[in-house]
Amino acid sequence: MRTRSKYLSAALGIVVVGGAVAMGVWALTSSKADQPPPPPAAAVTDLTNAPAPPIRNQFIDITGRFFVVPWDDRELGPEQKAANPWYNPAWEQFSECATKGGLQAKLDPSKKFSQVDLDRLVAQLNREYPDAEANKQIPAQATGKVRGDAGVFLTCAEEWLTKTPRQMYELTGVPNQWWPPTTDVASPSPAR
Amino acid sequence: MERSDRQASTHPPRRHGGIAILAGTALVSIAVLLLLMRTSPTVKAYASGRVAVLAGTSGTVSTLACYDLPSPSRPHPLLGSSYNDPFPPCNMTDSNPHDGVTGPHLGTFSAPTDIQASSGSGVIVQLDYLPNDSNGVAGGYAIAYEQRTGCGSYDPTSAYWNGRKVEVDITHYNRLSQQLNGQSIMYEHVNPDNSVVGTNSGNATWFRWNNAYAYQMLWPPYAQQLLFNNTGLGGWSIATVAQPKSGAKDVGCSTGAHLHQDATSGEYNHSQWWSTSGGGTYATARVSDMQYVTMSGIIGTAPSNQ
Repeated sequence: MRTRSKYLSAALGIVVVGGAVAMGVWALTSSKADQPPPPPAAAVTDLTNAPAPPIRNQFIDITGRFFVVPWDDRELGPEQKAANPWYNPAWEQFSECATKGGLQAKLDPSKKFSQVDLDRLVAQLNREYPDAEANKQIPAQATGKVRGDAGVFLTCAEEWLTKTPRQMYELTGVPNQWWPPTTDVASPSPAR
Repeated sequence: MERSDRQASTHPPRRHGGIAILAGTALVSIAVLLLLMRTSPTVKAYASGRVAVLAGTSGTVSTLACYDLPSPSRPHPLLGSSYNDPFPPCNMTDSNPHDGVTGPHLGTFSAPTDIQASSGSGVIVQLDYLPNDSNGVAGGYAIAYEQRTGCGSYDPTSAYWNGRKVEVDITHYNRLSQQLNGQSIMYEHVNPDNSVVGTNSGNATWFRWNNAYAYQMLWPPYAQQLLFNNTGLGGWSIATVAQPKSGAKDVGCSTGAHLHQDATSGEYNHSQWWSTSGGGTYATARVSDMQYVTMSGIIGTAPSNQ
């Protein structure tokens, strides 16, 4: 019996040592090759578990700051622009909407809402809401979903600053610089 | 006696068996741990890296619109310290952002560039130097929508037609489906393809893109809509170059068919677009590096301008 148990112990010992050696060899060879197993064809295997499309509001830039593309993008210097300023036909309605919501849209209420007013408003919001990561979570259609000054600004921007001059003409019946179009088309000239 | 013999004879093997089982369990645990280490993906995070936005169309670079001369000044990359670099990094928030040699030329983001091209030429979004390794960019989402501006709001029937302005936003994900960062590119003087370009961000559609050379792509083939990081191929066709009307110059907008493109946190690829004879050089759509963009969380491999 004693001899039998010795054999059994020896056999078990061989199995354990053999297993350890095999694992060591396996670990060594796999680390030597430094080749991880080939990954699956794609990280996302099932679209139901895919990352949701990002949240993107066009009045918040990709870095999380409030942002409106400048309306006057003429290739003119600041003095020339100031001498003949351009106004988005939707700005007055935007200004009224923002004022109703409690924002001071115009510094001088007797004047037309201008790019200067808009830039000041955007700068104020960026001071008021400095958390860029939180701003990035504001949805594309923020109307009714965001509170405070940011909510007022975005609601009014989404309602008015996405409108084309043609849409403003159709809404108000007031012609503007862009609609109805001047159609006396001349021939194209070389690029500047 | 027989009973005590059996007890005496069976105890030692049981002890050995217990040790063996313990050892075996430990080995199995180690093996499982090793397996987990090999199969659980982890990625490294990087501080920042540079990728390239490629030329959206083919043509001669006619304007690098934001020169910022004379400050900051630094030696020309090709001609040495006797010459100022004409295209240092353009910072749109500095005190003198639009002092281009050929006249002021406003860009929305940084490093605004004009490429002269025939009207109707395709405008294609493409990136390069995305990191392909297991810690890199697997793919992401992209969206395109119109932004409203004065010059971009004339009707195509108007004598002042200047094309439209389209913003493209691209977000980058790693192979764990974690969002790393994002960038925006602005294309101007274009006819948008409204089957892919929204009239605003609220009605635009997100498209799924894969890094063509990723260690592991983000999307399975059936879900992939775009391929980026694939110089000369793939990309995203969003518009064609518009033909501005000659009247546009009467109102201060640009004329002549060309593509204006600029990018967030972008720098010019100045070493390529500067010609020692003074003229612009030819850029090829989806091939030429137009802007270099510094992005957080990745180790991009775009060449340095420094």
